[in-house]
Amino acid sequence: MNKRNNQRFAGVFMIGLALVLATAYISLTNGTFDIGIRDVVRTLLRIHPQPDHDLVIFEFRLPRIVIALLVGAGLGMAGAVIQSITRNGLADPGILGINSGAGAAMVIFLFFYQGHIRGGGWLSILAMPLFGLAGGLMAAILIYIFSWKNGRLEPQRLLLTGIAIASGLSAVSLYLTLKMNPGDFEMAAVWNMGSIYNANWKYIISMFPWLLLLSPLIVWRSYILDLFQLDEDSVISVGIASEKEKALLLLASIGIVSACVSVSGGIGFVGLMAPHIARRLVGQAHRHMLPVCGVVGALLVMMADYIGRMAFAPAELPVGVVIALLGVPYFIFLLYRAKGRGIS
Amino acid sequence: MLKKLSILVIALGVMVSLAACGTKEETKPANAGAANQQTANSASSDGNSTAKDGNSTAQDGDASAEARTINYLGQEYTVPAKVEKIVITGSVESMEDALVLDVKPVGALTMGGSFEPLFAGITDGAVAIGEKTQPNLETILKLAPDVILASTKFPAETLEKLGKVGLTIPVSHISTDWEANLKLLAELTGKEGQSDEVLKTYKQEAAELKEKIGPTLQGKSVLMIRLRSGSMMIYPEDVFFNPSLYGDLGADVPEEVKQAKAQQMISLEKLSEMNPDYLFVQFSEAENKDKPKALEELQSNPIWSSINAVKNGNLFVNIVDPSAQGGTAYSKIAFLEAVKNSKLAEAK
Repeated sequence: MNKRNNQRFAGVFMIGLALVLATAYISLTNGTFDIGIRDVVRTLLRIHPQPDHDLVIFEFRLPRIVIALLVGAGLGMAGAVIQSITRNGLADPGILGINSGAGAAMVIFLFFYQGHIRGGGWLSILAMPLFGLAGGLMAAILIYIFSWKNGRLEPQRLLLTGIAIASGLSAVSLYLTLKMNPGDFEMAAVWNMGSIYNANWKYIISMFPWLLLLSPLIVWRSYILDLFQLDEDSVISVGIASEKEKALLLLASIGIVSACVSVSGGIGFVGLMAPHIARRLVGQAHRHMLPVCGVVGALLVMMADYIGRMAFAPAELPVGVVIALLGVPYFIFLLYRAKGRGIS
Repeated sequence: MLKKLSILVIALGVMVSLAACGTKEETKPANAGAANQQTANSASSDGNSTAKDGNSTAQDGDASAEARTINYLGQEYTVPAKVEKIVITGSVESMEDALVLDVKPVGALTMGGSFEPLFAGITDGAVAIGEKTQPNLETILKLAPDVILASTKFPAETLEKLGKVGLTIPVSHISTDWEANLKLLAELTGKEGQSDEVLKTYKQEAAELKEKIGPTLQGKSVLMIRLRSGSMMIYPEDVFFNPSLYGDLGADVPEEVKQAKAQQMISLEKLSEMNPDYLFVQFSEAENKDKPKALEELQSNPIWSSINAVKNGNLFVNIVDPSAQGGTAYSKIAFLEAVKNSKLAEAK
């Protein structure tokens, strides 16, 4: 049984990776700038590099692909952790108020500083993501404090405070966007829809360490997530320091989500869908499911970004909108099919 | 074991690509840093570094073309002697300037997926290069423009990327820079004569009109509002059409406009309290997608009808094309023309 599961996992994971690579390849070779497959390969392998091709590949296309991959993987895994901890299959990083926290911070930044922090270079480019990160973490800490009761983190309270804080912060963002200059207003609107249009290597460098540190941590503690399927008292009686583990895992996923949201804006649904799809593919065991979540999430965001970039070229659809448009019907279809089989 | 290996593979792949980029970027900051030091004007130091990049590519492309320097808002840009391919992105202001000077860009921004009908005259030969806020960099690159007219509204990272495509000049979105913006485009395209003419005529006509209708507006409250997302917005004294209204025509500036620091929402109650004698409304459905009937709803409201301007027939809806930005040469000229032909000028 165990062996068969392992084999299935290996198969799914490898196919997933292959699909990710295929999507990356398609994304890399297609765009409004005509550039042949041979030239793409040449540019990548540095054979007779041409400045124009370098620009298209390394500055325009590759950063987007990498950001899509990282954001998708991060949101997918974080979604799985949050669903397990709250024992609620409908939980999503967006529900925890992290998206709106980061969004509010971003809007505040645009409102008060746009036009002041200038001068190019690292600071001005990274100012937005840093604000987003800080906002996301602040919102998460607030939610954490409010849902702490009797020395326990109650999943129900966590979800409810999350929703409350999220709506509060969205109200703040909305109020400020209405007072904004038209130009800043447009920026904020695009950001709120979730877009990786502005992807660049600096963003990648700013978010990558979080993923590099935190996702192995989550995978490493994945057996604990399996135990969280039991009810709270049983978890404690099995000998798990429940609160400590929960705090650790939750903080890890909050870190990942904040990092993702800070560069891509509020991309919804990935964190909700990826765990469900992964569970259908490899079952409940988190040590299998988490990596698959990452792969599925990455695949979703990469494909959505490619479609958003190409469908109405030269205009673009924000990746968050594409995911909502394509992902939701698929998700409902999955749930509908599962109903017959009696799983969740 | 397997999954750890796979994670490792992903991580490795990403790191390799990161490293590949890192070496490439190292050459840039030195250049940009040196450029930054020279500029006293920190507001557009991006522009300076991009100017340098653009210059080098221009020289690569056409060694015989002589470069010249253009001064725009305290910033020097080196442009090829003959600028033929202009791409306008993000700056509707420049689109309007192009309309005034009849400059045809090779690439132009779209709004809502297509060119605005207002700009039909200059966009018939142009390639769509994406939405106002999200230019499609690959399309711009394909056009190989001599100059990219961007907007100071763009975030730093977009300007940086545009700078890598070609010489990028961030065009100011502040209305008070309208003359500089027009002159910039004129200088680029060698139409200085035309722009001087336009400016001269405008100033002359504005002075004449002020003399003519100044007495009518004396002591009256005059206001211009814009409907956005179904809400009424007022603007500070130097934004939107307000410089034309209060500066050129010499109307008294209402207290509320003086106090507004940015775009500000105004409620119908507040508006009726201000009770303007002359009211200008700019409304376009593109800006009110959720409430395309916002204007009609407003007009059927009894509070609206009790406002002096509405009661006395001094309400002017869309006196100029609502997609006009307000602060540019085109907008100003169109507004002046419209006011001249309205009953405002006839009334004695």
